[in-house]
Amino acid sequence: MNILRKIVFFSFISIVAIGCKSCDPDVPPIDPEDDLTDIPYNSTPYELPKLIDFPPMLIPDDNPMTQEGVQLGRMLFFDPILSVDSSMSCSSCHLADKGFADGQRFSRGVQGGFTERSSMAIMNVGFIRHGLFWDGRSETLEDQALLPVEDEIELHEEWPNVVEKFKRHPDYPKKFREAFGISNKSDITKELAAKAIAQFERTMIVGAGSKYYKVFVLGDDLPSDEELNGHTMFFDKGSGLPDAQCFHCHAAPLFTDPDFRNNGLDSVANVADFKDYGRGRVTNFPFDNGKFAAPTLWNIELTAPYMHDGRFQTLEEVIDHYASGGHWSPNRDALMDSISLDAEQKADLVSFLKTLTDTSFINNPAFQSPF
Amino acid sequence: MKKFIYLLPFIALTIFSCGDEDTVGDLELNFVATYGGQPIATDGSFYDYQNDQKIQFDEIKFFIAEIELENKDGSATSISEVERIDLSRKDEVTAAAGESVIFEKIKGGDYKSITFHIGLSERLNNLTPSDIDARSPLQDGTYWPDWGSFIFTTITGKADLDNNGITDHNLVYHIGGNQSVRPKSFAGEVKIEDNRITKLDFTVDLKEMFMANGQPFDIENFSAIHTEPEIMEDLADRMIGAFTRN
Ligand code: HEC
Ligand code: HEC
Repeated sequence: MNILRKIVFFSFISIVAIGCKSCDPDVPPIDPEDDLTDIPYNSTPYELPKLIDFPPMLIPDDNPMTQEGVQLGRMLFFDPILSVDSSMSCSSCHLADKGFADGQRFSRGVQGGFTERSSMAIMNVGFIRHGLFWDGRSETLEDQALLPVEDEIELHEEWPNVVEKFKRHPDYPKKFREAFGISNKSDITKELAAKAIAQFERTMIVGAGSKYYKVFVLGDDLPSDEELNGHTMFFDKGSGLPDAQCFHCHAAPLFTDPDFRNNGLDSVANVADFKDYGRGRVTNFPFDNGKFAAPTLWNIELTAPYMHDGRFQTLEEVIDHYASGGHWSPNRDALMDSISLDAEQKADLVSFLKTLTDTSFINNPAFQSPF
Repeated sequence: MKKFIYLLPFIALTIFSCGDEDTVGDLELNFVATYGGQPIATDGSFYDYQNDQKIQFDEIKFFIAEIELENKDGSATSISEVERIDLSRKDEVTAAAGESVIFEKIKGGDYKSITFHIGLSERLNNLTPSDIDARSPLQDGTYWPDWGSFIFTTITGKADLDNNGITDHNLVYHIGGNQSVRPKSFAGEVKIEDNRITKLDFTVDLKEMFMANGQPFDIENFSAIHTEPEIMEDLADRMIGAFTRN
């Protein structure tokens, strides 16, 4: 509803903007040299792969998926042209071999500073409905993709410069034409760049190549005893094993949750004492302080270190944390309680988590650098 | 999200309309969660349970489904198939405002009551998220494949059982499964008039749920309910008692 309203609003603005272009003396006249209409524009719809138990993806009406859009988005994702000194791209902190996170507690940005939180793995992000980032502050992938460029720690560039670089580039004007049908280089905008990046990110769907999918969804393979026990505990299925409660906040098939929660990482007497306010910074609601998105657990084996501040190096440490019930705070989630797990059961949970590993995703040529 | 829902009655109207006398108006349903009449804030505020024990609420969310207005002749006008209501609120003021869903272009007339299911009808609950449109309110809920059900209602919070000001007891109530849906009819005229919004106010009083008729729900022994069928049905019955139309 909000999104729809925004789309209507923006199309209205763009009509007004286009309407004025011809009469505003400050707008430079369109340079016929920059005309792109000789390049054919007939984009091909992009069909997303379908996993049988996944929900349909919510794709904004004003950014339909096309082969050309995805291809442009992939170039932009890997191109250091987006950074102030051409040294870093999105992929510098979202690396294929690290499950599209970066293996660091905090990521080093273009001028040596560190990000405040740990990088997030980009996968299945097209399915996220509660907003992007650890605190959900970006509503859509299109909004999100605008931010790293001007973030002082991350790419520290300015969009007008980046757009100028696109216009001067030997390939980009053609790629923007093919993806979005623009007729002149002057029509290249940061919004179109963000749309292309979002299209590429929506194709990054993980799961089909995992043991979990083969065993527990398709029934084409058998689990080991350890994996089966881990599965039983993860989903509270009983059979004499303890309920580990995980699935409440990491529900299949996406292994995430629409709500922001405090999973007991820090002990505070008062919600004002959290070091990182997380969701509370977005909502200005103190009881949201210290709450974060429950990230997907797909490929979790590959995306250490864990949590918003990368405090845990291994999955074993993560399980120990949950077994303890975490630290008390006034808004620790009601689903957090100590769980009595012996060493074998903890190991079984880790074995189960590893069934979510899908290396075919990180090795997929479509998600590697096109350069 | 509501776009398609608005379209439905509109399409129905174009098919069935028979002349100039047809009028359309909007219908607003407003829901407020209260505890003994006091709007519930999910900000750590305490509410009285029994014997000086206290409860706090974190999440209060539910589906209502198959919303219909009943005509005086016994026939029904369908309003919406499903809506998700989230009454978790950061303070008493926003809690008192509650949450509204608005349906546009409802056929004008004097209806005698409104009906909806608290929870999902079997028809809806037998779907899975992969069958459903990305914009359906059902996609905002949680589906449990092993259970073959959406979670209809989520009420979570904490309790302070020894009255020392510190919550020492978690409360997690998930109601779902086809046996837990409860249709409820709310009698009383609903007048839909041309180009006007008719607002109906509903209260969901959780004190009614947890303390129904002086029979407290045993939060101490049943602090987390996800699957136990009898207790879940008891909770579903208590939930239906919590709903009133003002
Ligand atoms: C300097 C490292 C760095 C660079 C460069 C960077 N990111 Fe990130 N990315 C992060 C960090 C750190 C987070 C988590 C930040 C937070 O939640 O506050 C993140 C989060 C995200 C998320 C949210 C994922 C989710 O599950 O919510 C997306 C999407 C994303 N980045 C895409 C991009 C894109 C697109 C670019 C290039 C335009 C980019 N990133 C460049 C470090 C980086
Ligand atoms: C109360 C909800 C909740 C429950 C129950 C829960 N988690 Fe989490 N999980 C979260 C949240 C929230 C985060 C992110 C916390 C943060 O970084 O502040 C998280 C993070 C994680 C991470 C790190 C993800 C990453 O990318 O860094 C792993 C691994 C994980 N959980 C596994 C599990 C397992 C295994 C269980 C069951 C033993 C479990 N969780 C139970 C809410 C929950």
